[in-house]
Amino acid sequence: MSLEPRSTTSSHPAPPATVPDLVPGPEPAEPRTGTAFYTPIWLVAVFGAALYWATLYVDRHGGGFNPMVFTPGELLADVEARVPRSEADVLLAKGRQVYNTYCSACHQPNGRGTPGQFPPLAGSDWVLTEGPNRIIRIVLDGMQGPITVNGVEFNNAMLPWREQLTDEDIAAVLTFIRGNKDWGNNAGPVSPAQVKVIRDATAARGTFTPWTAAELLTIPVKD
Amino acid sequence: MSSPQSPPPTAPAAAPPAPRPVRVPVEAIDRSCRWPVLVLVVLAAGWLVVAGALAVLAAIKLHAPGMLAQHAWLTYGRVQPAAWNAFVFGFASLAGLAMALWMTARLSGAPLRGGGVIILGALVWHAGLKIGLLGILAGDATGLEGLELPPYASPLLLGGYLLMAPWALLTFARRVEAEAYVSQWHLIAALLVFPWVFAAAHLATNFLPLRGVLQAAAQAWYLQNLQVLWLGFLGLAAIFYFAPKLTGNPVPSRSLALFGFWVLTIFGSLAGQVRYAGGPFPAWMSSVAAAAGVLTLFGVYAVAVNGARLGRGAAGRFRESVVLRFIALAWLVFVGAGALAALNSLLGVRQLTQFTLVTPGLDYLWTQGVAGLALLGALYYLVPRLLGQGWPVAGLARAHFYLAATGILVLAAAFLVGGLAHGAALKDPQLGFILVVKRYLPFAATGTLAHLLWLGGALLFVLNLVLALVRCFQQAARPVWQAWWTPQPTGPQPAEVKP
Ligand code: HEC
Repeated sequence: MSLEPRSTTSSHPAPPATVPDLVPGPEPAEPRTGTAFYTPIWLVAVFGAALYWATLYVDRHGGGFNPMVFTPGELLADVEARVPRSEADVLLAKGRQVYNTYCSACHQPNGRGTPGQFPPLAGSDWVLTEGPNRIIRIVLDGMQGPITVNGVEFNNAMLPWREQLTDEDIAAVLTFIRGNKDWGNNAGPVSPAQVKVIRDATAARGTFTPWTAAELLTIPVKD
Repeated sequence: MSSPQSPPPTAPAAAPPAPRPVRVPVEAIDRSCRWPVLVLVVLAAGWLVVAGALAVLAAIKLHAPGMLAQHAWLTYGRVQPAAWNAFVFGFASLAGLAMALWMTARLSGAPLRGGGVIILGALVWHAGLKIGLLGILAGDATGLEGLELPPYASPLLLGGYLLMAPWALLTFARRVEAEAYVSQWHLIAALLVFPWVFAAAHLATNFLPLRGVLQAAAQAWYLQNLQVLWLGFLGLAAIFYFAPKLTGNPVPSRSLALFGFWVLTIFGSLAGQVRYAGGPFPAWMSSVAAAAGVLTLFGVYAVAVNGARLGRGAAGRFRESVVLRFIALAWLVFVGAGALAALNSLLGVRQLTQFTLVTPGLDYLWTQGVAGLALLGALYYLVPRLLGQGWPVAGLARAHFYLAATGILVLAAAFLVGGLAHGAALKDPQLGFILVVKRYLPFAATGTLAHLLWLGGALLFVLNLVLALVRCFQQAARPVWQAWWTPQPTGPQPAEVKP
């Protein structure tokens, strides 16, 4: 049926050599459709695949059609990593890296340590002191012997980092562990200047002289 | 052109009596269309110039904001929406309706019904738009792009529409052949979609406003449907009608055209929220829109393939026919804009183009590029048939094509390239906002040039139309005039003298 051309006004013979468009001339036949080819099967297949992709896409990004789920923007952590708000935030971002590289092996990524071996940093009464004077010393020169953390006794050894980490690295990692909200910690930042003062003051102790808890407890937490 | 099947034999007399209606000669159809369609064309032509002039003014203000700034009603915030509304509802919609009525009658093989009511509808719509535009210039525009018409004007447009469009459907119902042609699918879809989208969006924003961001969601949905299913489908109807008619080739694949039609109808209408991707909307809206936006590519591909095959071997016809050139360019713009819009729904691309000149650039391609060019082509074809005589100066039509074509291409280039530069600059934290704005000034200035070219073309069109109407009027009036002035012969009547 569809092959049958639409009838022209029968008075007009074959279409003219030139198309009259701006002047009313012999009217060309009304247009018609042909069946030179059907919708190619590959197109239908690709369309089906695209439809499948579309459902996956909506499933992944559509929030289950819940009207309360809004288009997620960037995660706060990503935004803060990209656009640091203050010097403390810069330290925080850097501290996360230093921690993951140097400390998490013993104190664990979640900061909870390993019972009997490595003391926790999350909620630790050593970490959450008013000032960072003692923990700067621990990280600089390491520590050994008995130590009581949150009432639990540990007796092991921690390595010194004086040679590996710069003032800024140490300030950053300590800012990170003190201020890590995911761990429930909320103590103030540590500045590179504070680390430098203590590094210089304790240089005379000689390398690889770990602190003991007893020794540290004589030092005020805050200048 | 001979039919592959022999015509059905004149059936045995016992067959059911309902005879197939007979195709009415085109001359009779054109006569039935003459008055209503001409009224629509004349109104549309007027709006084309008004819209062009306002668009030039708005474009200038993007790079010379001080010009005429002392008059509140000539500030950018009013002139720009006025230009858009004048073009979309003044030119494109009225010309679209003119074409839809005429084309439906032609394709149905039945005379157009509803003459006087259609004229009334056209005048109501026209009055509504005039009131609306004056309202916009007076500062009554609603705050939503595309829905600026004040609440006291939009119902008039809808009322006028309801007096006009149903006649296309009623004429279609009387068609000779049961099977509808490609252009008819698009026309009927467009005619049904427009009142629903227009009414729903105005209700949702101005009359019974939705809460908060949902208004913007309704607006994005409305703009998308207006662009693709109203303006775009009017354009496609023209493309699928005139391209085969003037090249003499049939549309190569009906099946592919049908596939494209449904893909565009379903997914084209869902992709609106891409406009506000990344905005504070429920996640499902943005993701459905992005996925649908990508899927529209299949519809665009179908139009591209059918169109490209149609034009094969018809190079000579393009040289001869101005109408065909308008139509071919509209097709090209449709394919280009459709592909770009699909690309633009991808999140990665959108991150660069969001809130840049790219968005208005794509909008221009749909409104002026697809609908504008295709409808101009259609008007150039149908006016001579209605008047029964050709355009007075064919050269003006040819010049119009070149002006419109360069106008639209320069506009698209300026806004798309400028938009990318703009997006890249916005991403650069070193650049202050005002420096970013300065970067796109040259592109905005190019935009003014493009709008000027477009306006120049519009003026040529109107000049040609006025000349044609004057000539027609003279011819119609001459016998009356002569009868009036010729002194009453005292002798025997000439009819009696003749043997
Ligand atoms: C080799 C395992 C190891 C590594 C690596 C290590 N520590 Fe320790 N850390 C310990 C041990 C063991 C103790 C307890 C020492 C003791 O028993 O005297 C300790 C104690 C501490 C304390 C005091 C006790 C407490 O829980 O609050 C702090 C603070 C601390 N470490 C911070 C760090 C930081 C910061 C780093 C990374 C730069 C780090 N540690 C890397 C094993 C380690």
